[in-house]
Amino acid sequence: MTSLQSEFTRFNDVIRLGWDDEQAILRERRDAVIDQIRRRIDAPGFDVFNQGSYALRTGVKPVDGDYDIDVGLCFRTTRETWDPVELKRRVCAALSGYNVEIRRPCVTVQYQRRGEPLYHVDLNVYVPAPGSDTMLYLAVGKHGDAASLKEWRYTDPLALGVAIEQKFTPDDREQFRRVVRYLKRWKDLSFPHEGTAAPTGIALTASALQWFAATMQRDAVANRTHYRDLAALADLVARMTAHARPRLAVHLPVPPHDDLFRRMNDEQMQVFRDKLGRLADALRAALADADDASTSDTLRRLLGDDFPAAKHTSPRAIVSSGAAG
Amino acid sequence: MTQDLARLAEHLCSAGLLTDARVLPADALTAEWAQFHRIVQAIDGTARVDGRDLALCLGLPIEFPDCLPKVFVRDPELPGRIPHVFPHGYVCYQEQEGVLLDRHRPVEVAREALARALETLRRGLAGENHADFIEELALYWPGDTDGLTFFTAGDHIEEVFRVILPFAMTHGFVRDRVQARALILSDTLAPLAKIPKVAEAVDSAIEESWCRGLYIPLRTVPQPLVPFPLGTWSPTQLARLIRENLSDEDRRTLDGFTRSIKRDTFVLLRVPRPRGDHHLVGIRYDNVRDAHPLARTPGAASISQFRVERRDPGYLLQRGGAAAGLRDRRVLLAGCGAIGGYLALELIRCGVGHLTLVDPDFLRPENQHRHVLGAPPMMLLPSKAELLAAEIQRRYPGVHAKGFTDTIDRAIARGAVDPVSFDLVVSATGDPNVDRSLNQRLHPRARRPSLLFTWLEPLGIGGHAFTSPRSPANAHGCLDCLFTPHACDPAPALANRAAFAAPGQDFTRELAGCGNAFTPYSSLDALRTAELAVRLAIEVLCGEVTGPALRSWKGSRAAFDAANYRTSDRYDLAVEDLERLCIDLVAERCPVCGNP
Repeated sequence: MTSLQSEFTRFNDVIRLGWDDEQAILRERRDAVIDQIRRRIDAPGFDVFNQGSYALRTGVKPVDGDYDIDVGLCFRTTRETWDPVELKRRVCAALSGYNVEIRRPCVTVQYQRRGEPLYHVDLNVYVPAPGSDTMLYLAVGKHGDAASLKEWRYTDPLALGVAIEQKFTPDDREQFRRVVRYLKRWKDLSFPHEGTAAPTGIALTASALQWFAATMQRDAVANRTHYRDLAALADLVARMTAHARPRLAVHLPVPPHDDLFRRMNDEQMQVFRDKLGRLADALRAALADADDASTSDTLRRLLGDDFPAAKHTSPRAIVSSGAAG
Repeated sequence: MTQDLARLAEHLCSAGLLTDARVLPADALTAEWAQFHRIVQAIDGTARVDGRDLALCLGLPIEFPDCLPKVFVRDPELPGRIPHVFPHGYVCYQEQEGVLLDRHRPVEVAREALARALETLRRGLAGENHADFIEELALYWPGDTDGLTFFTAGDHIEEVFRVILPFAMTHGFVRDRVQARALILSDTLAPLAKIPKVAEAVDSAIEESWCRGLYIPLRTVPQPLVPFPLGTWSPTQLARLIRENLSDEDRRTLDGFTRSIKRDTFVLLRVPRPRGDHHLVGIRYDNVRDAHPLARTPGAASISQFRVERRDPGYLLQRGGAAAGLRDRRVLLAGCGAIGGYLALELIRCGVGHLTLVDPDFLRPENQHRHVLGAPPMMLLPSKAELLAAEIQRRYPGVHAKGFTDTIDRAIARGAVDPVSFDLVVSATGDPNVDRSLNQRLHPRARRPSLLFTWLEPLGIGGHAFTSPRSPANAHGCLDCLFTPHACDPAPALANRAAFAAPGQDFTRELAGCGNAFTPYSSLDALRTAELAVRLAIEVLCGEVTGPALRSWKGSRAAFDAANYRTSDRYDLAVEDLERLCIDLVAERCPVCGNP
């Protein structure tokens, strides 16, 4: 049985989007954008909250360099008072000087260098839903959309985070987040430029919420728990594969209860399912492989070169015993 | 006080225990029975027991209510007729030992005591406890204690001998002259025995007091005589007690011996008790005339009965709470330091009969406050192993203890000790390198002893004992499993998984430069660790532990914290888990017993 847990730990450290330099820059950008909206917008006041992988702490560093951050702007008004696209237009207007685009679910602020996307901040525009502390209405639609596509969509943007918090113990939750990051990095590598052909990060996260089981081995002598990320990832992918018959469907536990894979057509789902199946097979083989080096090679093919080659660590050979008789 | 006693008398009457209860006047308490039993207050009365009216007395000793009150029956026919009634009519209804009294309710204590005494009398009169005469024969056996027995009280009639032990100022009952000589000289005078004149003097003293006698173990539990003699038994009564409870073969053996003994002699009699175990009591026959008084045609003799104190190892071990069946077990102990010292003595006290000690070190004054032997004697380089072995031999005659001044590895290599010849090998060296080497040497052997390793950690944080009992070769679970990192450990390090100290810390201190490093711990830490290890060792020797087992005790972390040391996650385990949990001991990749 191989574990390569120290390699997984290092891999996670490399790919996780944490409170490091990149995230600091993102936070600065976000704060600058919000500050400008507050100063210039011709609309009611709003409250700000983080959402998406930033809030869930499941973010991974992008392989294409396009970092993103999701922000919720909850305007203190009602859906009866404002047209959703008009409110998004006001946000857009307040950000003159920025490269801003109104997209159907959000307003995106792009930062580019030499024409290549560097960062983007997705601004999600909400108004509160009366009678609820958590439910909001999301402004959906853009200019030129048919009236049926413009709506205030009833949703709870923080529900997934709450469900994750409630389902796992703190240590198990950390393994959950690590495994989601591995899966998202695999997705970024396996679907590099495929748009809606790729499963979304939130769809993979919700899948993990449904099928992930914390996997560990206990050392009752040392009173320590050793998490086995390889086994947890293999188990999750096997379960997802088993449920993709023919389509994988995962629904959020709160309205609007959408299937998070709904945007993938059958052909795209087929591709996803095939890739997921190959991942499951490879992980199963890796798990059965007793040789650390060849297991590491397998994982580098699946998860990319950021997964470290197995290194034979040599612990100190002379230590204090702390024993006497 | 008199009023209290009057109220007690009324209470006993109203409880239906006594009629005509009255407080005895003070002058009545000057009588012999009251003086003998230290009675300072007493109530007389009558009780109806088993259809008879019995005159009774409830006497309160001066210590009452911190001791039981005493009950006397005034019927002169009862002593000897029913058990538990002794001279002066004293009724033994309850042993004082092991009793807790409600000292704030003395009246209730007295009432319950009287009720119990009446129940004892009722059972006696109804014949329900007649066998108690034999069960408690030693209590009824007349005569004083007159000697110590050292021979092994076995299952067969045999000749034993009486000799005067001049230093003990009493008789010794021994199996032969060699034992007599060893007892008279004792270990301290043993070297003098090499001087011919001393040896002659000792032999001459032995010869002067030498007396042949018989040890007779009765086969069956005797029926109590009726009435049961509370004083000296008659020759006929004694002869009947003995001859009627022997097998035919024993009687023939006895006849053979009695034909050859025609002078002053004695008998030590082993009498089985109805509820198991037995008594050992003595009969002295002086001025024997014509024939041995136990011969088929008995001769005459002056008879006196006596009691003995037993000093034979089998009895002493059992009496001292030692585990049965350990006398033949052989234990090899490597390491006779603080833990090993305590461990050696406790193994012996628990009944282990053969102990071989190996330690290369010498007892040094700087360790006197944590070593069981204390300060070393005024001699150069006193060997720990040899001193400890000598101390065991001195304190516990009959035990085999031998010491070797060597490392365990060298002692094995040069053939001084053969580990396979032992039931259990214990290592208390406190050096994990020595322990792991020993484990690697012995654990894979097809035929190996059980192994037990024990060590402690500094500053009172705790101690451990690990065993891998004798089992088929290459059975999983050995000491090295504790040093093998878990297969899923993301940061494997060289450390003992059982340790309470977090890895990577140094605890040795030096008081006077290189070569004087020591680990700070106290005698109490060593004692507690030794106790843990001995309990585990006994369980292994008794076959109660058959798989790998780890036991730990944890102490206060105060000194540890004060010195800015860190504890491991294991230290956080509950005490009961540390004492009993035996899972995850086997390491998958253990280089000694696993699949590396």
